[in-house]
Amino acid sequence: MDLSAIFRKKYGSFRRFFLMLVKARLPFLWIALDLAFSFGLIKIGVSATEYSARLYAGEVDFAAVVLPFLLVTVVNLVLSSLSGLVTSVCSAFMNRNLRRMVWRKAVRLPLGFYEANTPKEMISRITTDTASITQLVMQVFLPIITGAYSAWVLLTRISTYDRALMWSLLVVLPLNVLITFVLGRLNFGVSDLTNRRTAELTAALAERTNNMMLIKTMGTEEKEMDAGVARMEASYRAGVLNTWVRNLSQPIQAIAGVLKTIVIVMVGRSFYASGAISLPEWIAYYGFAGQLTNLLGAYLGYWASFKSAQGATDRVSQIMDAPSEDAGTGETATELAGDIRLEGVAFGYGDSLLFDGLDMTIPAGQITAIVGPSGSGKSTLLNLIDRLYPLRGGTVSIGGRDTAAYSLSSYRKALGYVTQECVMYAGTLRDNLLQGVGREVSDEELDAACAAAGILEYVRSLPDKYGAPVGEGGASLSGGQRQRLTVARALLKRPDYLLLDEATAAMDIDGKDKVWTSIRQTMAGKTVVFVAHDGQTVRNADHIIVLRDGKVEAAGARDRMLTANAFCKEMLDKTKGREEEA
Amino acid sequence: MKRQKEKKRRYAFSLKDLVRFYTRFPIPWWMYIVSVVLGFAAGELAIQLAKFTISFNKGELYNHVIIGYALLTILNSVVGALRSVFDDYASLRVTYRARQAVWKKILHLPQSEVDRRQPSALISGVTNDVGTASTLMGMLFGIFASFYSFARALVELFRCQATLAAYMLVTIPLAVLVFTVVGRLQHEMQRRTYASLRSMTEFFSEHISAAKNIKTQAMEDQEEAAGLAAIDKRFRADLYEAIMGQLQVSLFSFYNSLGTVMIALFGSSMIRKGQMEQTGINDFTTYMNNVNQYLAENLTHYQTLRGTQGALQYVGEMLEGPQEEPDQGEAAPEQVGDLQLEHVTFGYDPAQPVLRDLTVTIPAGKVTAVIGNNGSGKSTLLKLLQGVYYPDGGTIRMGGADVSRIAPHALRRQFGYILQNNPLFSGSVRDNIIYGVQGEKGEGFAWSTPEPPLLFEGTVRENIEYGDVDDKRPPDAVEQNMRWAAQLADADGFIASLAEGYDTDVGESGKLLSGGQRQRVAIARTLMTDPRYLLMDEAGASLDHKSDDTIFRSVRQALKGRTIVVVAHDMRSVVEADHIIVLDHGTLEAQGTHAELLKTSPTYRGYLEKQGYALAGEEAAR
Repeated sequence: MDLSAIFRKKYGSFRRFFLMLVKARLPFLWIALDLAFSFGLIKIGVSATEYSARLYAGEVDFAAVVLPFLLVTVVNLVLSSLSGLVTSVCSAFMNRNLRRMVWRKAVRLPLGFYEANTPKEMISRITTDTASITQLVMQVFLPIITGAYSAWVLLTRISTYDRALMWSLLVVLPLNVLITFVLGRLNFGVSDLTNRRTAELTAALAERTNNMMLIKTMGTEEKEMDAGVARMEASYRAGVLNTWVRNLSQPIQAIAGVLKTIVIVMVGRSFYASGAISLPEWIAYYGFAGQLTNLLGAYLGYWASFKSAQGATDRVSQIMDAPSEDAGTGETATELAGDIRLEGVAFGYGDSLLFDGLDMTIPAGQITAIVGPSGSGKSTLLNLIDRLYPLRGGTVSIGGRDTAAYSLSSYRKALGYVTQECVMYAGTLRDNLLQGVGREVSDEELDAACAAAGILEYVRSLPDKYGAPVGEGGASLSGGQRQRLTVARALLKRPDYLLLDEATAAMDIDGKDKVWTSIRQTMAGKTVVFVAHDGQTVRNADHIIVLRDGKVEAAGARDRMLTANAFCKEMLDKTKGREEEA
Repeated sequence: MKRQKEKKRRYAFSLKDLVRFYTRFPIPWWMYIVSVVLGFAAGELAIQLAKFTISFNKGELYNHVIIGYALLTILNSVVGALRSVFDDYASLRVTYRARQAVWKKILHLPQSEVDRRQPSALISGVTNDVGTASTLMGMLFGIFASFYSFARALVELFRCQATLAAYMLVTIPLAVLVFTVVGRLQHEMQRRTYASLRSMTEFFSEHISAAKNIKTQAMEDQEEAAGLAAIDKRFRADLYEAIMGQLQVSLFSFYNSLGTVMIALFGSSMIRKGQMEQTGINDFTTYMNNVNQYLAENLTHYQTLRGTQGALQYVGEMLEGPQEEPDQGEAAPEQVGDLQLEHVTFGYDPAQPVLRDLTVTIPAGKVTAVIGNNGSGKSTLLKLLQGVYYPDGGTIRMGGADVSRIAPHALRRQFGYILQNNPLFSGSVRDNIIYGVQGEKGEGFAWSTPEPPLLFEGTVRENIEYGDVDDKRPPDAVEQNMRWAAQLADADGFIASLAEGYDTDVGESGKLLSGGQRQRVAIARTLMTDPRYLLMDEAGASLDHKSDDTIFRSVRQALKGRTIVVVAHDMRSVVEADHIIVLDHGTLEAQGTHAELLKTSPTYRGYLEKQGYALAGEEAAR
C-alpha cells in the first residue's frame, strides 16, 4: 500500500542479512585470497587465449609463441588448481561458522519456538539453509565482483586490437543478454511436479512399509499393490511430462546459442574483412566475445539465485532474531524448600487459555499425584512448574518465594523432571545416565541409582556394562528400559523436588512396584509430584489433586480422596468390586 | 508346506540373478534401439559441426558458412533432444515396471524378512535402487553410440594429421589411468561426505527433537559443545572433500593440458618443417576435442556400470529371497475351535528364544487373559497365532488344524488384532475404518459369516438410522456396518464433530487425530472385519481409564461368544476373564480361572496385591 514502507521492509531484510553475515564471522582472509586467485586467473586466461589464437593462425615461432604458450598453460593449471582449492576451503569455513552461529542460538531458544517449528524445519536450518547462504556468497556475491573485473579486462584487451570493435561489441552485447534472458526463461516448472510426485510416492510407501504387520494381519496385500501402482503411475506420468518439456527446450537453447554466435561473428566479420584486425586477433576476439556473453548472461542468473536463497536466509535470520531464553540472570537456586504454590496462574499454548486463575498448593515433603481426564492440563502443569513456558499471569512460588526470581538454569538444575519422552542420545549407557547431572559420579553411585530404578540387572547382563551403546535415540532399548534409565538419571541428580510425567507407564506390574518403592525410599522427606493415569501408580501418592478443565476439582490426602472423590473412586476403588462380590 | 526354517537360509546374488532381474518385467527394446540409431547420427553431425568451427577459426566468415553452422547446430540439438526423449521414455518405463515388481515382492515378504531388512532400506529399494535398473539399461545401449562416435572422431583425427594423431594415441592410456584414479577418489570421497552429512543430520535430528529434555535438564552448555563438535566433524569432512575434489579436477586439467602441450610442441615443429598446413593446429585441436569428449563418455559409462552393482544387488537379492504366498494352503477350519500351542519354541533371533517349549490352550468362545512381565512373550504369542511369524519348533493348532498349513490370508482373516498404538494410513476416516473390508476384489469379505455380524441392540440401529437424515445416499451394507463399528468403538461422537465427518482426512499416519481418536478408529477398523478371534494387546493402555471401560465393555458385549485374547497390565481387565494364562520368560507359569490362580500362581497373586486388591484372608498391600 505504502511504497516507502515496502522499501523499508526490503532494505530491512538486506540489512538483517548483512548483519547476520557479520555476526557469523565470515572467513575474510580466505575470501580475499579467493578473489586474488580469481583475478590472477582472469589475467592468465587472456594470455592463454591469445597465444592459442596465434598458434591456430599458424604462428609457430618457438621462442615467441610456443614457449610462452607452454608456460602460460602450466601457470594456468597450477593457478586454477589453487584457486579451486581456496574456494572449497573458504566454503567449508563459511559453512562451519554459520552453523556454529545458528546452533549456539538454537540451544538457547525457548521451548515455544521449537514447538512452533517442526524438528525437520529446525534441522534443515542448521544443515541445509546455512549451506544455501554459503552458496549465495560464494556463487553469487563473489562472482559479481570477479565477473565485473573479468569483463573490464576482456573489453580493454579487445580495445587494444581496435577501439571501434570494442564499442561495437559493447553495443550488441545487451542483444545477446536479451536472447539469453528471453529464451532462458522458458524453463517450465515441471521438474517440481516430478519431485513432488516422487516425494508423495516415497511418503505413501514409507507409511506402508513401516506398518507391514497391519497389512499382513488385515490381508490387504492386493489392495496395497493397486494403491502403490497408482502412485507409481502418477510418478511415471510426471516423469514423461518432464521429459517432453526438458527435451523440447533443448532446440530452443540451441537456437539461442546460434543467434548469439551470429551476432558476434557479424560484428567481427567487417573488421576482419577490412583488415582492421589480424587473423590471431580475430580468433582471440571470437573467444573473448563468447566469454563476455556468458559472463553477462550469468549476471541475470544471480538475481534468481539470490531470490531462491532468500527463503534460506530469512529462515536463518528468523532464528537469529528470536529472543533467547535468559538462563543466567537472577538468584542462584541452591536451597529450595517449602510448598509449591500456584496463585492465579493463567496459561495457554494458543489463543485460548488452558488455565485461567489456577490456584493450587503442592505440599512439601510428600508425594503428590495429579490425576484427571485427558486434556485437563496435567502435563502442562509440570511444564509450568519447571518454567518451560512463560506464564500469562499469576505466580508459581516455592516456600513463599516466586520462582521467577531464580536464574532459569540454576532453577531447572535444582528440579528433577522426568518427561514422557524418555530421551536417550546415541552414546553409551553411562553418557545417558550422566546427562545433565553435572558432577563426578562413582560407579557405586551409578549402581545404586540403577538398582533403585530396577535396571541394574540388565546393565550387568551386558558385556560392556555402562559402556554399552544404546543406539540412536536409545533404539536398542525397550520402552520400559528407557523409562527405568530416565528415572535412574533423575535420582542421580539428587533433586529436592522431583516431577514425573507418566514416568513408569511402560513398566510391567512388578517393575512399577519396585521402582515406586525405591522412589519412596530415595525421596523420603523430599517433594515428588507425578502425573499418572493407572490406579497402581496413583496408589503410591500421599496426596492427590484432581485436575479437570484447567481447575482443581478436589485435593486432599490419598485415603480421604479415595472415598470422597468420584474420579479417584472410579480409578482406584472399582478394582475391588469383584472381591467384594466374591 | 511348512514355513518354519525359511529365515535361516541365506541368498547369494550372482550375474545370473542380475539377468533374471531383467526378465521379471518387459523392457521397451525398440525405444533403446531407436536411441542408439539417433546416437550414431549425432556422432556424424558432431564431425560436420567441427568443420564449421574450424572455418570460423580460420576467418572464413562467409554467409554460407554462418548459415550452414546455424542449421547444423539446430539439427544437432533436435537429434539430441529426440534421442533423450527415447532414452528417458525407456528409462521411465523400466523404472515404473521394476518398481511394481519390487513393491509386489515387499508386500509379500515374510514379517521376519521385513524386520531383518529395515523399512527404510526397503523403501529406498522401491524409490531409489530401482532407478539404477534403468540407468544400467541406458548405459548398456549408450555404450554402442558412444563407442561408434569415438571411433568416427578418431578416424577424422587421423585423416586430419595421421602422424600427430599417432602421437596423441599415447595419451589415451593416461586418460584411462586418470579416470580410474579419479573414480576411486570419487567413491571414497562420496562415502565420507555422505557419512559425515548423515552423522551431522542424525545428531541434530536427535537433539532438536529433544529440546524439552535439554531445557528440563538445563544442559544448554553441554549441548552447545556437543553440537559444535558435530559441526566441526562435518567441517573436517568438508576440508577433505575440498582437497580430494580439487585433486580430481586438477588431474583432469593435467591430462587436458598435456594434450594441449603435445599438440603445440609437435604441431608447431611440424608446421615449421612444412609437414602440416599453417592452420593445422586449429583443425587438429578441434578434432581432438571431439575425440576427448567421446572418450570421456565411454569411460563415464564404465564408471556408472560399476556403481550400479551395489544397489541392484540389494534389490536382486531381495527378489530372490523368500516370500509368502498368501493364498496358498488349506482353508481355515469352518468351525470355531480352541487355539492350541504344542511345545512351541520361537525367537526373532533363534539363538535367543522368546517362547520356550510352550504348551497352552486358548479355549474357543471365551475371554482369555495373558499376563506376565515385560519380555515374557505375551505379544509374541499373539503374533504367532496369526501366522505373522511361524514357530521355530512345535505346532500351533486352530480347531485341531496345523496353522502352518492354512493359507496365510485365510488364517489371518480369522483374527482381529488391536495394539496399544495402532497405525492409521493417510486418507479419510472412512478409508481407515473400511480398510480391511474391501479385501481382494473390492467386495467385502466381512459380514459374510453365516451368523449375524455384531450383536447389535435394535436401539443402536434405530439410533443410527434416525441420525442419518442428512445423508442422501442409500446406505449400502458397508456404509451401515461402518457406522455400527464406529458406534461400538465410541468413535461416532468425535467423528460427527469433525469438519467433514467420515470424509475428514486423518493426515499422514493419522497424525491429525489425537491418540485416543486414532485408537477408536483402529478399533472400529478391526470390528469391521468381523473377526472370529479378537486379539487385544494392551489395547486400552493409551486411553484414559474411563474411555477404556466404555469401549471394551461394549466391544466385549457385542462380541459375546467369540474367542477373545487380552494382554493387559491392568488387572481389572484380567480378573474378569474366563481363562487366565501366566507367562514367565517364555514358559507357562500357570493357567486357569481367577479362583484357581489365586491358589497356584504367586505372580498372579503378586499382581493383584500390587494393584491394591484385597485378597481373601490377607490385608491389602496398602
